[in-house]
Amino acid sequence: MKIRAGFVSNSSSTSFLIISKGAFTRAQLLRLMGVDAKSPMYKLFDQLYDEFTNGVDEKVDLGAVQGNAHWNRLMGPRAERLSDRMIEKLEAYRQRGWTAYYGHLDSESSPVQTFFCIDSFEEENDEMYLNGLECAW
Amino acid sequence: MIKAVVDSHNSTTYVISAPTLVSESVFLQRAAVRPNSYAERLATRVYRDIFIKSLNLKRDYDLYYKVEYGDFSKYLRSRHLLHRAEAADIASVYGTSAAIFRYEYPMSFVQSGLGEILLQKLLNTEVGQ
Repeated sequence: MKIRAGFVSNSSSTSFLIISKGAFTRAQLLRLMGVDAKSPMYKLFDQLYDEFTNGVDEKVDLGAVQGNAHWNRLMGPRAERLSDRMIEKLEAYRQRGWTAYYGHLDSESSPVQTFFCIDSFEEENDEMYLNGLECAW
Repeated sequence: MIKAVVDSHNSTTYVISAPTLVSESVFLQRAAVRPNSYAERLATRVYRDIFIKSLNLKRDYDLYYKVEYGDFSKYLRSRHLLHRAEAADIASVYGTSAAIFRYEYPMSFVQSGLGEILLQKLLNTEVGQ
């Protein structure tokens, strides 16, 4: 028997969905989140871009999806975690032929990734959609 | 001064001395974020966590504990269980601070070099250990 004194942490991973006009770029993310190079918060979101790109599990060209889309098969090994909201957006942006990136963030990684793993957000502009709504504890 | 303090539960909190009290609008101007963006909402949360929700140690000492504890350093050691060296360090900026906040439960990104530098820029102060 082992006895642990102190806190016991519960690590977790949460899914995100990015849908972008063309390839997902650092500049797109920074514009969506509302920072530019002059902001002291720039490096935070600059690192978030790296965390997102490293966490992508599946990339899908939505314009190439034919017929009835079986998102639970198309979006890779974690597709069962797609929310209704994510599927709604995949269907909407499929009409425009944008590109979807489905992935996950871990709570036990870098402090920056941990923060965005446990925060909950949904952002959208005319060149990108970001769903981090599943990122909530 | 932004000073990381590790308590007996191994949790990191920050003691932040502010030379002047910064308004939310000035703080957001320093953050240089686009209005109504995620970054602006995040900067607002950081501001409110520090300036509204955090305990102002200097204010509490001046208002309630000055009679009980002879000096600020003793108050920090006895009331907030800070180590002697930490308390002395924080007490050294008592006279030049408009407020000294104890920022508990910081967002995880703050607990990195990147986050401490961010706070330093937003609060226009220095990081100290």
